[in-house]
Amino acid sequence: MTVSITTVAPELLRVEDLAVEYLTPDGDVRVVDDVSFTIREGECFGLAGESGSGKSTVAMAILRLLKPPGVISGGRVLWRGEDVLDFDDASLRAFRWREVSLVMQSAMNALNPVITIGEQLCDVILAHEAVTPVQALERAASLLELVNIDSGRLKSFPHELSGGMRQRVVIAMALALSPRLMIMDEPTTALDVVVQREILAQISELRAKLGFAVLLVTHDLSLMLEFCTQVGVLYAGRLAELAPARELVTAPKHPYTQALLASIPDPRRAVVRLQGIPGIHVDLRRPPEGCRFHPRCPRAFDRCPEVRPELTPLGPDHLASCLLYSTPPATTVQS
Amino acid sequence: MSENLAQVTPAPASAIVSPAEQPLLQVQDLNMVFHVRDGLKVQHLHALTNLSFDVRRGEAVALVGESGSGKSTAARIIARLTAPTSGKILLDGENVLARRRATLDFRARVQMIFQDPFGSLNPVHTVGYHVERPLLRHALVGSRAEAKVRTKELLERVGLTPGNEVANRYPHELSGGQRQRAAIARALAVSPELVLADEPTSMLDASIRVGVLNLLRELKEDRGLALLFITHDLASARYLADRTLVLYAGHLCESGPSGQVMDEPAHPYTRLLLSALPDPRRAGGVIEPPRGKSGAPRLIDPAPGCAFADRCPDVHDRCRSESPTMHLIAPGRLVRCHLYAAGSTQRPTLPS
Repeated sequence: MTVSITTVAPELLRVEDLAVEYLTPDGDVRVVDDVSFTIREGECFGLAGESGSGKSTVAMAILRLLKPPGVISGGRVLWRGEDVLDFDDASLRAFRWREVSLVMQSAMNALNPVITIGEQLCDVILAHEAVTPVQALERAASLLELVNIDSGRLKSFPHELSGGMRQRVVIAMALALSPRLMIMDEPTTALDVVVQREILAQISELRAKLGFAVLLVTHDLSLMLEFCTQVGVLYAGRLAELAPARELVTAPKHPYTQALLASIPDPRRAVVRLQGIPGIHVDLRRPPEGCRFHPRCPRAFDRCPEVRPELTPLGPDHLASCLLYSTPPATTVQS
Repeated sequence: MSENLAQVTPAPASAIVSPAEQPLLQVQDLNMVFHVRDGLKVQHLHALTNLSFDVRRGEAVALVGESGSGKSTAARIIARLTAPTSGKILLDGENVLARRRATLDFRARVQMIFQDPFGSLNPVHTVGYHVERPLLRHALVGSRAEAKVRTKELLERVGLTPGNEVANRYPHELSGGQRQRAAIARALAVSPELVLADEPTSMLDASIRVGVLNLLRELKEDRGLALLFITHDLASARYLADRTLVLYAGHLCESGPSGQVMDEPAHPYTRLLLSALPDPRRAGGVIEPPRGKSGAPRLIDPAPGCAFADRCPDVHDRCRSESPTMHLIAPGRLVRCHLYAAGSTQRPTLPS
């Protein structure tokens, strides 16, 4: 192990200045721009952002699953000290699924409709481990039971299961090789709220039992804030803010985070009027100079269109990239 | 008036809070049964069962429920895109189902906005074409030149400025939120009295969503537009709607002023839904399981009794044998649950 920073658990994944570009005939589009964060062992880290913020692209880049024309154009992805970007095919194969598994949004599309879920679970096990088919089937049965599905369901086809059950099968599959990190990209977006809570509660429970870390990618900020301990907020490919979930709820620093939180209606409270964020999303082919949020920012000032803000530490595990907090101090500094 | 009824009195489904004035829209005992072919067998899927409610002029009513609750089916029937199995839909007291097809007059009074702004605008036509078409079709303008002027005004009304420039753009050149605004402008072209909005904001990002909700709110306030807002998102329902109706398995299980339904949910299903919503104030990395079961309701050959019985934490014998009726528990608050029947001593156990 190379470095072990600060507190509790050792570092598992460190993303450093990650950049991803889409190479298009009209020019290269930088969709992830110098994103850096760290996930410690057993931690539940959330990556939030609206469409086009680059959150799924970051997840795919970590697993090196980007499809052309997307390429990683800079930065490092350190997995327990080793750079994933240097892995050869064999190490990459061992890294994917055994170390880091992936749960995608639509369980309907992630499962093969013409093969039973038992066979699909066995496929994962047999592809990565030297076991007999009988042993694999036993493992598959216990995996299903781990996610509260009767092992009699091994012979079921995906269409015979409800959406929630299918998503649980996909989670069982992701846990098949006891990974250290599970990446979940919008795992419950297509599901009803009660099913969503059941599944996330189950992941909380399994995490406590098995000790894996989670990288949750979602647009649903309320869900993320309840589920994760540390959260990164992306805007137009850049990290706007990185903070413990509790602090992000009580004391968001970046104007984008503040505006985003203020535009989510609360079913539990009477709200007279919410603002939303004026303007439209950034066109990444022609991103604004300086801070990418400045054209929509209610607190923008003269330097915002000129100077690119850097992530500035504001407290333990709390950083924001906004000129309001940088040195030399802006005219309207607050701490 | 129904407000005079004593609390916890069974109310007939048709006696839904009727104020002195005649409601703009009255939905009465709407039933929808789909015939589903399974091999040689034809099965009956009960999508809506005896649904009744009113929408008053200038009122926003939210119809909320999970997938399969029948909320979109209700909207499609009211928009006359599908014919119901039985029931009445009265617009200003007149049963619109008496005519076999929707009349032009009906379309001028009732308009619909769909969920998918990418699918509801024709990609080969400009935004302006979509808004001009109803103006010309309904003969609301005398000339094409006048149609252009009116289109510009409509687009600017929904926040698409400059209107004449946006009119020349194609749908793919607009963002999701802008496209939904264009769809709203098209619906407004005929100056409808009622707009049916089926999940109009669920495909939009959070920062954009509020803008569209605010626009609908302004149109309601400025033009006295009535809205039937179909959504699965209770937060948006509370934000936009004066009243909220909760649907489960095609049955109306609770209705009332939105704030009251959310702050003091009466039906065990509403309580479960609200308790399952993510709450950022519980931030901390652990998700508690919901206080009730998930599971799709049985819409084909439904069991006797209450549709929610299998998932209900407060289920008792009566729920399995007898369908609950509507009970008026407070002015304007209706609940379809045996817990509120006269003589019942039980009350819901779930804290809300």
